[in-house]
Amino acid sequence: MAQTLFDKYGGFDTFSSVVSNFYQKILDSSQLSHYFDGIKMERLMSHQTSFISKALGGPDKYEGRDLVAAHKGFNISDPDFLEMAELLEEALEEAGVEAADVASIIAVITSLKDQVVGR
Amino acid sequence: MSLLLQELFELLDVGVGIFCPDSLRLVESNVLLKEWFRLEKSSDLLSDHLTQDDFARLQKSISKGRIFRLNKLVSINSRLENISFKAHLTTLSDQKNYLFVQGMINNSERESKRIMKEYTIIEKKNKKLLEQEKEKALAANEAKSMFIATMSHELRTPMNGILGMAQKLRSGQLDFTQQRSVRAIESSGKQLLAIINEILDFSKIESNKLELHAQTTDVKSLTLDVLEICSGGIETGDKVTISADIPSSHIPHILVDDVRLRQILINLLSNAIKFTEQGSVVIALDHQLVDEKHAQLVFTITDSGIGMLQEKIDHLFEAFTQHDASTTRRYGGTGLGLAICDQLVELMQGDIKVTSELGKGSEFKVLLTLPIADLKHELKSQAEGEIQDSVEAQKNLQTLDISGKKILIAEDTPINQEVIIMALEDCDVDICMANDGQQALEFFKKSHFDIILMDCLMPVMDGFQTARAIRKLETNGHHIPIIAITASTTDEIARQCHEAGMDDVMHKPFNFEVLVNKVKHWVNQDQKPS
Repeated sequence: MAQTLFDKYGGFDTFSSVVSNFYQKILDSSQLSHYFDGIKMERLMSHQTSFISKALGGPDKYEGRDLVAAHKGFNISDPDFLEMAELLEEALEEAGVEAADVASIIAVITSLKDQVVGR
Repeated sequence: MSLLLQELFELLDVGVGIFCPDSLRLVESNVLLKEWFRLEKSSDLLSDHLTQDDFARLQKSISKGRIFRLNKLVSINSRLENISFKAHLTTLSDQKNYLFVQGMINNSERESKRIMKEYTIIEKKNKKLLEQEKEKALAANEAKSMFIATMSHELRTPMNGILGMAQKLRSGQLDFTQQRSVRAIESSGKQLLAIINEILDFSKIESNKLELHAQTTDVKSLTLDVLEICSGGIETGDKVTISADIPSSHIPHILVDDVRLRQILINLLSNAIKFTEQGSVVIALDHQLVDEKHAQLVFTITDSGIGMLQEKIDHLFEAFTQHDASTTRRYGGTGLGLAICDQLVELMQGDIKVTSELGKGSEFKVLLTLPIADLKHELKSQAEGEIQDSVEAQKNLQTLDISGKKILIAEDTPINQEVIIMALEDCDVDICMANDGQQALEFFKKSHFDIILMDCLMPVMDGFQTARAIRKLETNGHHIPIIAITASTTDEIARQCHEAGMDDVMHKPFNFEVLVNKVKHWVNQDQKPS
């Protein structure tokens, strides 16, 4: 079996630091930070780590709600989604993920847009 | 800025400064920021102190109006410190845009990574240690089981001498006191043997060496057998009635290790009898078909004895524990009986349930779901009729005459030699005694014998080697019966005996009559292999 992206970049350790860097970027962003007012970041980051790990072929430990339910009521706009994707891209690049792999991860994330935007 | 404020600015533990957003040249900063970036010393351009990647990121952040973050290791007072920098565009009161940079020492991430790493190392180390300890414990337990098995075997050998001599003594001319003494020796010996057997069983179960041998079994008659065995010791004057409650309906034959099932029931029933001074003890059998191939059997042993509290029930099946310390003195026993029962029932994938009330009595239920013997086995069980016939034959054996038959005995222990001779004394046979296998082989070569009784463990040449050598020497379909005599009760020994070419196995200590019957049986086999 081909090595998963999850294993290739060092598993949970790597992706939890990617996620924490990613959320730092989101909270730094005046465009996105308001979505996270009053959100328990630790729990969110733990869910997000599990979610990304699962998406990249790692173990299935994601116990959060499905994407539509999780984003319901936020009314996330297209540009905000793209901004988020860009920040994730940065976070991945900074963790040393190769450009081709960053592109495929972002492609996976972009494919989920309909479940997140305008809900 | 006031002078004091200027001083405070320099006293900050935070590095602060502003740069031109286009050229990234330093405009103003406190000393700390300069030190951390080594600005001025070589160059006051921020870009000269960033890696290419970080520089590209910074430019991107500036163009997108985002916050730029950077972690940098800086040597401060010969100590490496992690400094977190944060930079973003800001417009000051002079209406100009600046890149505002601030940094502070933040070792928390480094620290947590170090702790994580150490934790992983410690965890690995601990896991290894735990595994080593577990192996040690397993090895120690194995050694203990081996020791118990060996000890039990060693104890059985002299028991042969004691019980054998007592049997012989009893049949002689004795006055009343002597009779009583001999009976006491014999019953104590039997009791001791039962304890040794219990310990041996327990160690076998504990080391997973106990195998079950399922046989087609008539559980009704098995239950009645158990009743008969257990009520045997009860004198008629006793205040306890012991009975069996067995349904009159047909119960199919069941595939189960009958020896072990008997052992479980005897244990429970004799326990009930032991703890009941007056009233009744009942063994009841019930059955229910689970499906076409399985039946559930329920054996219920109810007594009106001393009973016990719930907390006692909880520990009832633990090894070496009894009702309480004082009952150990009052009632005797190893405290292994119920532990063995519990484990045997577990091996049969069944269940034991206990209900009890102090002073009123106890109820033990053994629930077993067992396969019904299929047609083939039913046929085999019809063949048990033949076994019944052979029981008849056994009776006939008693009238058989083996006088004048030549018996070769290989046995190294003088007392056991004597015991075997005693057992055969009344048969008027011709005995030739060999002290080891080698000697037995020599005797076998020189003269004709009708049967050989072979101890398994002997010096020079053991029983297995001797039996093999004898089988090699035999020609023209000639086959002398060889009965192994061993203190071991393991399946392994029985298998080894048969592999070595021996025909039957006799366990030490033995009952004289049983040995004589075995000899009679094999001598009359017309020297055909079984």
